[in-house]
Amino acid sequence: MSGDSVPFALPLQRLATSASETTTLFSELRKPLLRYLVCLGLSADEAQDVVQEAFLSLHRHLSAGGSKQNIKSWLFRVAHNRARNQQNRYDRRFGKPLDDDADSISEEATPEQAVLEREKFQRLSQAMSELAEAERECILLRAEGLRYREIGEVLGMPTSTVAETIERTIRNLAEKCNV
Amino acid sequence: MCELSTKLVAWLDGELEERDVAAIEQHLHSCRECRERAERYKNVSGMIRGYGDATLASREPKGTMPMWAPVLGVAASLMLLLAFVVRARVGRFSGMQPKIAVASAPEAPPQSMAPVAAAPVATASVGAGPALPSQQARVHLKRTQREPIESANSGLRNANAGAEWPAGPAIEIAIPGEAVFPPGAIPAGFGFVADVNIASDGSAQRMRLHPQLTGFGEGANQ
Repeated sequence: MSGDSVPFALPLQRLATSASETTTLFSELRKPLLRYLVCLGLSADEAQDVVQEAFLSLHRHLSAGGSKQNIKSWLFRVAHNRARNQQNRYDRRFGKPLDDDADSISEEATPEQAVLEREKFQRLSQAMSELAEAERECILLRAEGLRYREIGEVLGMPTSTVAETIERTIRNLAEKCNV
Repeated sequence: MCELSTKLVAWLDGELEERDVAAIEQHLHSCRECRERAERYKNVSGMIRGYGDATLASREPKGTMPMWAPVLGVAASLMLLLAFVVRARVGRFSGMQPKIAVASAPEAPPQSMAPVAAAPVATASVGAGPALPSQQARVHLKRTQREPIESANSGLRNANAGAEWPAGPAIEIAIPGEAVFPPGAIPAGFGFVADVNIASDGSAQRMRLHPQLTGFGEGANQ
């Protein structure tokens, strides 16, 4: 190997490996991240931007030899913080209730089922909008399959607090939604 | 309300330790109220997941393809190609034959190498003929600093004293979409341009990906 190319070889090899890992994580976690962000109140475009920035950060993190442990919660934390910055910047109201165009949830139902389903989701949407910020964030991260420990890492709270918050919120939502 | 009912959600989430799991499951056999409660918690958890999907569906623009799915696929392929191309070019600039050539690329025609000889800028065309197919990814790469290449290329620089450093990308790669994606993954006339800044240590400092909906230059007319 030429002496001049040696300094480039290792960083580039790491770069290629990092790109491959980032691609795998992207296909796995893009939709959960988008779902979490739009449920926090971002528009689809804003959520796309945040997800792209989060994955670029991940790529830089991995190509710089950063830790690969807890990557899922790392990504959610980066996306969460960026979403928070956007919220502060635009004074956006998080937790906007679902619009009437949530028709996609009942496309295959009979008219009666569709009405019931719509009512049920409207109740849930209303109840979600009334949750405290931490409650909503815990519940949404749980819905994306994060463990309590990971949720604690994303939101910066102890695992025991996460467990209590989730238990209280689920009980509250079950009562309000009358399921 | 049973004392154990406060652990039902954690039990559903698989967050309890084994001895607690055994206690809860034993309790559920004998307590109908807790069984019903657990069922309600399970139902509302399913609704929350549906709420996320419905929210996402209601906010996404209808009738447009999700643009980000293939982006990092391009990025990954790009990085692999970049690794080969840069190493090949470093070897060329230093007057040595590179150990690794761009194996999948046709040899660049002599006329396309002329600008390279006039200035220390590498231009590589990988897998693309003069008439580019409409489904392709095209990549522009920019270095953040010129010093490392200049020092690696001092002989060439001296031989070309007075040559202007061009404003365009240091390296340009055009990759046919078919070489990166499975058939039909990219609609006709759709592609990406990626700008990557390479630092002096060879790491990518910044990457910007620009989706293009109308094809690229002459390729759009094919």
